[in-house]
Amino acid sequence: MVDATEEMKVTQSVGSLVAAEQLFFEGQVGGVLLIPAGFEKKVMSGQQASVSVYSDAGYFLVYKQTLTGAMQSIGTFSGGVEVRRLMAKGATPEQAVEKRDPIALNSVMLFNPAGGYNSFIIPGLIMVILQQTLLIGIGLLGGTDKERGRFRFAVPQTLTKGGVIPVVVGKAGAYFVLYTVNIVITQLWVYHWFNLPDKATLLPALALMVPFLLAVIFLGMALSTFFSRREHSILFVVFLSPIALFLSGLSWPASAIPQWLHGAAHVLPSTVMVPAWLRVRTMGAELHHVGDAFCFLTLQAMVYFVLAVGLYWWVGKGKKGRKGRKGKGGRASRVDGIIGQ
Amino acid sequence: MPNFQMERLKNNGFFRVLNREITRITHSKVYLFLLLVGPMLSFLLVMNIFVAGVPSHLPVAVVDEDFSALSRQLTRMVDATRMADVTERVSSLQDGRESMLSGHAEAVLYIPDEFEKTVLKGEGAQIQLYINNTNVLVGGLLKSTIYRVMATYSTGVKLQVAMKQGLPVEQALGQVHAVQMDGHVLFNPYTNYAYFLVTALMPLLVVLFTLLGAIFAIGMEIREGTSPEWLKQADNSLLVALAGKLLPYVFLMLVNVAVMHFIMTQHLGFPLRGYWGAIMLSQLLMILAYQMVAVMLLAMTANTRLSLSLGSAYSMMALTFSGLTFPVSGMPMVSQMLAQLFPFYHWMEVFMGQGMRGEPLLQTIQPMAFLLLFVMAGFLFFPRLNRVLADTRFQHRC
Repeated sequence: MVDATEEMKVTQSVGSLVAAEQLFFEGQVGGVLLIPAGFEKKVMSGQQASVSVYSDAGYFLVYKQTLTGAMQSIGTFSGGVEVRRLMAKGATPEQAVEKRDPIALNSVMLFNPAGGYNSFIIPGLIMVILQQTLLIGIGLLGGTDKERGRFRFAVPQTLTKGGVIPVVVGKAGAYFVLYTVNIVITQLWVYHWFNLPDKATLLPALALMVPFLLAVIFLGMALSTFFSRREHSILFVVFLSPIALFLSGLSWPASAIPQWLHGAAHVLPSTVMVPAWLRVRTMGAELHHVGDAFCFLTLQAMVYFVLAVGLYWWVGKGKKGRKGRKGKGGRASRVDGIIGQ
Repeated sequence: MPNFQMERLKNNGFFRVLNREITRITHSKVYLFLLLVGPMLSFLLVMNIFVAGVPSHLPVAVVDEDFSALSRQLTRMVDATRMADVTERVSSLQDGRESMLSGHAEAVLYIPDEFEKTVLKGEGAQIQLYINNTNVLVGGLLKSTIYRVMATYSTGVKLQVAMKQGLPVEQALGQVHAVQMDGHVLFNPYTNYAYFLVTALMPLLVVLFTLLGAIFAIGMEIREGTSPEWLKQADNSLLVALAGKLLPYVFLMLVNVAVMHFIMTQHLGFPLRGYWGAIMLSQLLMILAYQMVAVMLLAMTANTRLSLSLGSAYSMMALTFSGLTFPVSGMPMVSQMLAQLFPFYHWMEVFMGQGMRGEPLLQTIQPMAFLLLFVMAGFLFFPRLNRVLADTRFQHRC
């Protein structure tokens, strides 16, 4: 019966537990099933018998599979024995089944019935990847501009009031358009290739995606003012990727993350986006189900917009002052000169 | 005499480069971040994310249409488990679905009308459980928890019935539970998730910082056009130049590794069943292997930014093959071969084998040999790197 389960395959029968341990360390088996002496006798005499299962919890999926497989086959076996005993006492088959299981639990695994690993990890992962690549990309551009002393080029009208806003909005618009292409690729093609569940309707999907992208873009632009070299954005953002992934509650439930850390994680748009996106995409939630997330992301986009404008203005002003004093000539002022004309 | 020795040190290319590198590191905030602040910060974050070890208090909504003593008892039992918290009592399945879609509940337990009556009559009552399996981990945990609650509950009912029929306890137990499963959870007795997630994540971060640090350190020489001077300091020997340059990085990464192991064994209670020495040796080999990967990347692309991008992708992909998310043995043959291309995978073999499973030392020889192979492979790229370093075409390139 164990051999017949989907999860396991009996590959070896050995004489002792020691021999089994040997096989285990050699990596030939992932779990060991021990049927003790006198098993049949106990079953026949109506006593409680037991079977031992040794599973490797070092690798969690191995552990889960061996345990589920063993539980199912032993449960079925045991059920058969119990029903037969009841029938031997003169119960009808129906009565015996009902007596054996006075309360039946029917569980329905919703939204991902097969427990597929793809549909579990990929949709959220895509969001984190979009966020991180966008942050790195914007940082790279900002760093390059700074290296070439072109940051003034980015902010030509800083001294006139409100001159930064068109620059920030214009740049963000360019990034946004570029990333809509990425969204088409990731959200349509990847979903198609991997056969990922898709129950989303257009409205809630757009309502989440647009503020999410804007929030990430403005955050990226705000951050890019700190990178003085193009390489820095890679160095400072990449290591956050696995951490952002886990902070979003994608595989590790958010309720198990300490409150303060989960709160701090709201700095990253992905923390709110990933669970809300999963609800829309995988579970088919409507707009009113994800209203909170929409409001939060919109607010976040606005806050980062103000931050980006402020930092651009500040950097532009600072550069102007420093440039004037130090008189750093070369390429930078040439570019400025051209713009000036 | 000491003076004479100092002179000799100064004339030694290795020490000149080493000295030069230490000055470079101490004069830049970026190096400080890459080598100490970054790793420590990320360790701290990872450690705190998984501080709970096992997820708990997952929200469950209950639709109780019976509202009898038995159904309330069942609800209480579910609530009493560590995994599940009954956070909501909703009036219909439709409301349950709503709260699941809004993210307020991970599962809905439906107790139908006349539940108590059917149980007492012995007619076999039915209970429905709807679990949100979007997150496989949460779904699986909730399912097994609630199944366990039901088994306990159901066994209690059966046992009482059997004993009332006049059977002694032993026979009654045999009647309700003919074959018992006696589960032995090896190596991770508390089924602690932190064990298997942290053990992959922290070393991955070490890998990331090692690789990026090495690319950045060597790449900056190319970008700023200081590479000819660097080579000259090392008497035009690339081996000496690299050794002197990378030694501080190896040392600092080992400091990080020591902190990592301290956190794992002392703070998280991670077991160390095998030989400490084997783990440390493979750790050193892994750091060297990834530094050689940096050499290969730079030699091939001659471009710091591109190498950094490729390097981060390469180190991230290693997580897939760490065997902790999905066992490598269960992957298709091609993926199993691919896994061999990541030093991280080989290191994981040693680490899991020695740390968690206490395997015999003989098992570590093969992964160690693979790690050594990576280090050796780096040497093949020395001539090409030499050309890249000397060629002014690659300097100041974006």
